[in-house]
Formats: sequence, C-alpha cells, structure tokens
Amino acid sequence: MDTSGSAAATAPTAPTAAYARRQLSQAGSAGSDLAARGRWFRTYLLAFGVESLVLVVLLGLGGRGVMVAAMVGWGVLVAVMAGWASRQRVQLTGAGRRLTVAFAAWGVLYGLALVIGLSSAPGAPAFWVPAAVVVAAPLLVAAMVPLPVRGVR
Amino acid sequence: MTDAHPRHRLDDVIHAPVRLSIVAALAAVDKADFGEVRDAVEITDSALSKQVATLEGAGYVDVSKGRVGRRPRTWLALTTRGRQALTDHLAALSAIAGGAVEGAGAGASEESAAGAAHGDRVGSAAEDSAVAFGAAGRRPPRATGRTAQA
Repeated sequence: MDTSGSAAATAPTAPTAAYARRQLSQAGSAGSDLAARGRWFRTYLLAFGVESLVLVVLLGLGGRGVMVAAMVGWGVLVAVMAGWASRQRVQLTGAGRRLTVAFAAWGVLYGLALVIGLSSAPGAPAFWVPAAVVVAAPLLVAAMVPLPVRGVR
Repeated sequence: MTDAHPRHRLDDVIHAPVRLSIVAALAAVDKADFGEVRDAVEITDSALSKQVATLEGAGYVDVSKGRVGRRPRTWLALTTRGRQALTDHLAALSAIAGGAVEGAGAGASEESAAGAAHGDRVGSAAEDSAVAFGAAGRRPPRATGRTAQA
C-alpha cells in the first residue's frame, strides 16, 4: 500500500461513482492542459509556411539582389526558429514525425519549383505565385490540421 | 466478497489523485519539462519530485536530464508500462462511474481535449471517460452493464 505524500494518500479504498467521474474528468483535464502547451510546433510550421510563400515568390520574380536577400532572410528564419524550438518544453507525440514529413514534402516541391521555374518560367507571375502556394502547402496544412492526442504505439 | 468489483482493478500507484494527474498529463505528450508538468498539475516542485520518484520507481515514468544552452532541463516521459497502467486504471474508473462509451474517445484531437480543459465539455461519465481515454490514446471498453448516458 502506497504511503508517500499526504496528498497522495487520500484516495478512497472504495471509490464512489461520483469520485470516479471526478477522477476521469481530472485525468482528461490534466492531459489536455499539457498538450495545449505542446502546440508550439504549429506556430513553427506556420512561420515557415508563410516565409516559404514569400521566399519562392521573391526567388522567382525578383532580380539577383532580391534572390540573395531572400535566401539570407530564409537562413535567418531557420536559425531563429531552431533556437526557439529548442527552448520549447513540451513535445507532443507525433509532432516530430509531422514536422519531418511536412519538411520533406516541402523540400521536394521547393526543388521542383526552382528547377522548373528558373528554367522555363523565369519572372513569370503566372507560374511563381501558384508555385509558391503549392510549395508552402505541406507546411501550412501540417500547421492547420490538429494533431491527434494519442498514446505510445 | 469476490474480486469482481472494478475497484480491485484500480492501480495502487496511480490511484492517488496527484499521481493520476501527472500520469494523465504525460500520456498526452511525448515528453515534457519538469516545470511544465508542475504547472499543468498545479503542485510545487518538491511535491512533484516526490510523486515522480514514486512513479519512476514503479516503472511508469522515465526521467532524463538534458541541457539547453547552459540551462539544465529535466524531461519526464510516460513509459509503455505507465501508459498501460493508466489505460487499465481509467477502465476501472469508468466501470465504477457506471458508463463506458461505445465507439467514442479514440484519437481525440487537440481541440476536443483542449475544450475539456476549458470546461466546454461538462457532463456524464461517458464524456469524461472519452476525454480521458482519448488522452491515453485508447478506446474505452464497451459498456457491459448500465448504458452510458451521452
């Protein structure tokens, strides 16, 4: 029989239905409170999604100087967001996997957009604006779709 | 008296209210910083340390140390054994509460769980069970006796 802690030793040996309901409610509340503190990764993805939109448009429609500035800005964002993410104190189950999948998809689309756009549609808004949306989509979708609250599999 | 009553399936370690809160909080995440768990459960550092020591001794919680820059960090994570113990304990509580939810609770989203945290979901043992089981990532057992009230 557990004897540690005054607060811990108050659980009844014959819990009533009302007590059990309170315990269930308490368990649900505690889980959701901590899970809410782990939703930083959605801000993380949203920031990268928006920056990606701007980046692709600038790369496609800007001149050489604008392209360089856009790449520098992207690098700064990556550094800032990496530092911010490292200071977060809750990691949701599945968030790491979602980040990996979202960025992998983004990388593929980004590469395709640059290869196709710079070779066949340089400076063409009709290509670069939709391309920017498509490239940013994996990050934005991953940010918007709620992560299921689940246990270990 | 037989052991058929669900109270016999309650976990002695998790049954304590504070430890139940700690385990339930950790069930919703991969891992969390000591301070975040303390704030979520609303207890002091020393109280959390004491309860975590008990949970770690039972094999339900894993404690690891890390560092962010120069700042030390203590991470808490629920073990597989701890998740199973929580699931079993919640099932027993649900049975005592007089309602298991049929076809509900599995894979609850962040939003529905957060809604419960803000008191948007008030109510029956069925809803409480669904939220708690959703946080544990499990489907609650089917009702075997009285039908749950929605």
